Amino acid sequence: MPLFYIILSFFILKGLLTWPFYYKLNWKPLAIGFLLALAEAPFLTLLYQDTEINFWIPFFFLFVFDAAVCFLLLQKLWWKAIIVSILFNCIGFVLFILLNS
Amino acid sequence: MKRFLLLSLLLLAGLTIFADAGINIQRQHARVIFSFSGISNLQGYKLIQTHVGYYAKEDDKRPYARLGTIINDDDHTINIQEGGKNWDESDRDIYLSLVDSLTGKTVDSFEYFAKDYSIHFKIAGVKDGRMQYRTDSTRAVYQYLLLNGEGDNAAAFRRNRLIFIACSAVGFMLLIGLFVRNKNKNSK
Repeated sequence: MPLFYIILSFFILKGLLTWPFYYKLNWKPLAIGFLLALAEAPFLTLLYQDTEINFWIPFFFLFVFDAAVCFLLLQKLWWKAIIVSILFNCIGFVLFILLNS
Repeated sequence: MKRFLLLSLLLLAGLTIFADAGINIQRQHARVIFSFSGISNLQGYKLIQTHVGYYAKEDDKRPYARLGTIINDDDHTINIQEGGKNWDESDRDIYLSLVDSLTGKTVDSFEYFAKDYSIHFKIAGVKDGRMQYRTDSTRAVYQYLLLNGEGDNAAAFRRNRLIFIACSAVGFMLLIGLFVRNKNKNSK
């Protein structure tokens, strides 16, 4: 999966689709979503292609990491952070595995 | 409390979707391939892959059936495909026998377990009734053309990997920077 497409698809998930949850913060969710995509998408691709790690482990850590980012950098609402994290990480992982298989 | 229950339900639903879908979220193994070279050096002998098992054919009523495939040229390969969750490990045993063409007796035999590694047999000949050979093994994994590769494009693959690492590092560094900035702002 080329880098551009994987970052773009992660940005659509974690930036554009997250934006309605935090629409009062204007452009900030988009920027955070882009940074999350930039950090996580190449990292996951490297893990998937170079190692034989069980992807439940990165899934769990990314779920916690995304929830922490949404809670600490966007809005101090833990339930909203967890919902966003679960929802888009589930979609993101299915998408990632399908695109890389 | 209601919100907590709702979130727990959402998390469980997400995990069960993964489990039910049966998506193997682990890098897939490629099939294991056993290949041969130097079969022509086995003058007067035949290399046979012996199939051992119960009732290999439906009409075979013997309790224990033995069948074989003659490996008679260098193009012959033995492919073992990973069979998913319920893969029977016993199916991965590969039995090879060296048989004297004149007498039909087995003079040498080998057993290999076909998992994770593809093996190439380089056969030099037969000496004192023993097959002389060397094996080269390579990992049986799908080679992704984005990051892994050998030969002329090795430099390009290294550059690709470096770009991936750099992108990821920049993303994480910027997020950490935002965390620190946020923390400093809150502490003032």
